[in-house]
Amino acid sequence: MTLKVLSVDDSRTIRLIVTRALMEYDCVVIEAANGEEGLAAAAREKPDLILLDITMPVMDGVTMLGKLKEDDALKQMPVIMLTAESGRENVSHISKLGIQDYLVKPFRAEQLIEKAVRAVPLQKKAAA
Amino acid sequence: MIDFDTEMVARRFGLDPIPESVVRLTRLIASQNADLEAVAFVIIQDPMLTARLLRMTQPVSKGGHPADEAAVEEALMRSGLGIVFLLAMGDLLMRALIKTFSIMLASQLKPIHPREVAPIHEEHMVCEVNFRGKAAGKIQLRLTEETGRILAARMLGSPVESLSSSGEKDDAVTELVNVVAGNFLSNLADAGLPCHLTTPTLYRTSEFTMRKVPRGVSERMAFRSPETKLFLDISVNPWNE
Repeated sequence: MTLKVLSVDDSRTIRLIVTRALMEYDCVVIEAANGEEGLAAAAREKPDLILLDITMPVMDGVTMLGKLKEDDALKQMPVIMLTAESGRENVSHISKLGIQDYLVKPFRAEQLIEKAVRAVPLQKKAAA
Repeated sequence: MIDFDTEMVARRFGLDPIPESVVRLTRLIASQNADLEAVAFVIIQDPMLTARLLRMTQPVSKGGHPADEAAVEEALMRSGLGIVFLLAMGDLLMRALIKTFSIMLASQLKPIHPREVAPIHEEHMVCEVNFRGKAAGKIQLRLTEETGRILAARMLGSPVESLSSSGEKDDAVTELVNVVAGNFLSNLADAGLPCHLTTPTLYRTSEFTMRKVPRGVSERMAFRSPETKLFLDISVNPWNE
């Protein structure tokens, strides 16, 4: 079973940590450094799951999320926000934009795996 | 005040409960107009806050006598309420740094008195981030190049000698500060002080003096782990004047 995960984060370090954690579970990880690159990668690669940072240059994660949800071809893709932002009001606002889950940095690799497994629909896992 | 639905969403995503230190900061903010006695009462409940207040307001040690409420009140009278915000914010920042080290680097960082650590005289790394909103301030993490290499290697789970470029080291240190500052700002927001953060900048300098914000109050904190030492400076203008 190989899941394709898109990691959108402007930090090379975080992308590397995410990639290493997911590759242990035989996932294929595609990387993007901002929301604009992330949107293009989502349309091109059709990932099973998107991990999305909030504060990024060029296009932030909340804007990218809004654009994903406006696009009929992309709006069903599960999204986990992966960010250092954990203010209650912000989390509550973002939860209404159609995300599967929310993971706050700093995070442990096992937390990421647990949330990733929960976010991807069973039929996707079976087909992968 | 956080409403019930908002807290339910946070719990659904498995976010940590709001730390007691944030609750305390909220109480301290609410007590802006309270008398010094009330503020001193909140501070004296926490031995670490008390010790930091006395350290900041009494540069020369008074021989290790246990602090009482009168000593705390006297310190507050001398320094004003701005120092209460600095105490509470410094507490949040310190906890964010220790938590980030524990989770991302599997390293236990211990706060120590800054005088117990030799200053860094050579050129060193400084990662700086500013925040502005209900409060304004500046956070700076100071560390040697060698400490930077060790931190980057631990974050990436690689041997120190395998770091191929200073870019990897700089990116890791910058992200570390980004995560710490993001946690700190989130706690400030939960305490009723929403602020926004600038992108962290990293530079090298031989200057070891704190950079302060105008009309701000400042504190230098020091930390040690088995393999590293670092300094964390915070300067705050609590009312963003």
